[in-house]
Amino acid sequence: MAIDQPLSVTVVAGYLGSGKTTFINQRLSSANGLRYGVLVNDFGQLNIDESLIQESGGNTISLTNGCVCCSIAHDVAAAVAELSERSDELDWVLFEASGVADPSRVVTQVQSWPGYELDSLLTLVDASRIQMLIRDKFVGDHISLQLGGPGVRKLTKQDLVSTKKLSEIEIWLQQKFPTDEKQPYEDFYSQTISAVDPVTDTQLKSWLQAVPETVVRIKGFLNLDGEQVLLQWVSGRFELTKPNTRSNHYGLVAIGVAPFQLPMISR
Amino acid sequence: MITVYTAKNIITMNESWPNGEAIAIRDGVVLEVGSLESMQAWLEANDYVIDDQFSEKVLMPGLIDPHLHPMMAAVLLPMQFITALPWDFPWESVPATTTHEAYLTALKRGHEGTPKDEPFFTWGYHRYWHGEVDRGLLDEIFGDRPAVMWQRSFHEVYLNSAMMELIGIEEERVKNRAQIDFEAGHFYENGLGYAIQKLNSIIMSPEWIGEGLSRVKQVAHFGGHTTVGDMAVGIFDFDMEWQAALKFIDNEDCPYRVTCVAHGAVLNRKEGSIEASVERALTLDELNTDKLQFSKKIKLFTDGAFFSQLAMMQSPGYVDGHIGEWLLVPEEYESLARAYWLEGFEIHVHCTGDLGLELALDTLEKLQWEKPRFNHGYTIEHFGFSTPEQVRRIKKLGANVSANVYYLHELSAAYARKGVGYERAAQTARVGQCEREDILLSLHSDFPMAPAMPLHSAWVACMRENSDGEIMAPNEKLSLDRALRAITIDAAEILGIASETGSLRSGKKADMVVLDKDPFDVGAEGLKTINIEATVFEGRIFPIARGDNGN
Repeated sequence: MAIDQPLSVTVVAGYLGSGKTTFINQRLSSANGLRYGVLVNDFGQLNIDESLIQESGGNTISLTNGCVCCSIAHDVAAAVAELSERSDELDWVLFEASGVADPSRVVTQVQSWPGYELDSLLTLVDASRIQMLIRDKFVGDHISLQLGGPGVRKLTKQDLVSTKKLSEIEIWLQQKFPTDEKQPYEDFYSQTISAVDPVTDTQLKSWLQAVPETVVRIKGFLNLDGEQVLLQWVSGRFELTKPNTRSNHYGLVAIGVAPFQLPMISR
Repeated sequence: MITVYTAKNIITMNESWPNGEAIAIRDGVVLEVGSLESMQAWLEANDYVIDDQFSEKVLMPGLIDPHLHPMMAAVLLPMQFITALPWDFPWESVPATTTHEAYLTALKRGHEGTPKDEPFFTWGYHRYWHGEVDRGLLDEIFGDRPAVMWQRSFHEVYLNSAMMELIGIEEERVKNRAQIDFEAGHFYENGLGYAIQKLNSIIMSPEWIGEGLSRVKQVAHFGGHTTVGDMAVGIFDFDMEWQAALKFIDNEDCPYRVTCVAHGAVLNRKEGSIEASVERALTLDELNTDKLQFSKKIKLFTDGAFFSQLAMMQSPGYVDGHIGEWLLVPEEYESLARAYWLEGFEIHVHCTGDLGLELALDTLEKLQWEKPRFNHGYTIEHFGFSTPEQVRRIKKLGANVSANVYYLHELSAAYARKGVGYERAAQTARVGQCEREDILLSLHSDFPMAPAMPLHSAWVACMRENSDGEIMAPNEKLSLDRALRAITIDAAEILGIASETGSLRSGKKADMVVLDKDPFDVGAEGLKTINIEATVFEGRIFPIARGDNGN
């Protein structure tokens, strides 16, 4: 029996007002064929256009672009189980951490979920408030944990501070909470190839070898020597399985951490 | 028809009229407390009977635990208790099981003594006492019978192979997961969520909850309660809980009433906005029945669980440097509290650490500035760690305290060694200062976190003896009188029902406990030796079958 590919998870952390919801909204509205599963604290905050809602019920809202939003407000374990049952329909998961979450606890939390795999942790930092928040008697310690925690951070609300102030904050952050990750957080990039023609084993392998380095994941249905197969490719490793249920469309979606162009599948 | 009960002593908890030797009751209401002579006006004008079945007993107002969790208890109570400390239930006295061998013997006895075609659940396992017990050992004992071993803290569970198969936990899914050890059948902390998700089909089934709630009813009766506060209605699922409460509590056979306080954080998430949740909370009293009553109260939260050392501490924090947890982001707490404050709600705020308390008090001070209120009922719930300065502030801001003193009893020794150090651990539950400052104070159990035995809670508050037998911070002892008030009239006031119950006086509901000894005769140290022989709820007698409290 084939092992289900785990769902890759990006944790979106940061204090209240740091832009977690804005970030998630942006991902949902410009998903580019990428089907996100989103675990959020509060549906009400998400700015979902009514016309994009395909189905909504209880804890879940399905969007017409293939994304699924699941509320973790009451029962995280139930939401996690619900999304993982739909893992075949999803490419990537965004998990919104609580505003005062300790990031190392969140990492362990995601690592405990069956059917998921932690890919990255993004901590959003409100440039206009960070130096005030870190002195707050109630949340200062948690803000420090977030800044000193794993993953990459991204300064948001930069437009609310002067350029001079912004560079002061960047220097202050780097001194107080040095990170190894020199490069700023990269957004996801994705490319969809629809209606792939039938390929042979050799053609497929040589195509996969030519996939650019910035691509981290490819998933989709192919016609391989006349048979439908599910391709799941993660950073050079891949698996071909016979799908449980036949899909009506052939096509691939690729996800990368920098802009990329997939080669043509040569025939 | 008037019934007059005579008694060796009637402790009224009404300071103006503290004692009596006869109490006249009609239609569940007290007509007069005094002597047969003093109540002649009633007896000459009406038919009456004199009932002397309590003539050698002591009567007191029915006891009140203003903060427990019937639904959590309902999940737990159908499990077989095998525990390191003894527990006393109406259906059994659970002895202390303190070694690995004794634990395995108890498991085997449990297996033999229960229907083999049903899954086996036990609660109370603790590695410190019971040694390593894992899936392999459970398989040896239980064979093909599904079995679950729940850890004392509620944060860990062990499943045997048959149970994993029954609920569909597969190795492929859970191997290499954090906080799940498939080989050992061990699911803990975050990994526990996955196991519970799978176990819910059993432990949240109507049959299980029904069995659990009938046990909760027995436990509450056994402890002498005639009123309890359910301090988080909606903790699992509001509608399911309400239906279960209607079925099991709202009937003639239930010897107590429940003051219902909705879980404000869950309500907020469910309704989707603060405004909508306040609107909903305002209509909850439309559900009220005789025994289940919502009023304008709401339960909110600041910091994490005391038992898990997730209380938020002020400097110098925990000895090991770890930081606790906020259950609500402080800004969210303030927004919720403000919305309910402005609508005139009484806010009951769960606070365990002194930084959690600081947030509750800073918020109250802001709200008093924005919209001053008298008699506002803002109540600090649990009251684990505090500073003397904070207690003075509680007084100045007009807040109440509902304390779980069992923290001191069960955990102060352990937290002195590993936690917050001796000085602060010893001053857990600073109830003596509450008395000195004349702050309205009640005692609660948070059952199932601690036994639902108000007289035992009063004993802890008066004696401050911890699990090692050491007296902790004797200056913080509560007086006997204040401790008894804290489980009767003052608890009623905290729940907002003091004009109906909590003391015995003309016009109040005839809610009583029948005691074999007088608390003022045996003194604080003797509180644990008092047997509750019956309760009286609105004039109806509910005998307690076992009639001893296991001491």
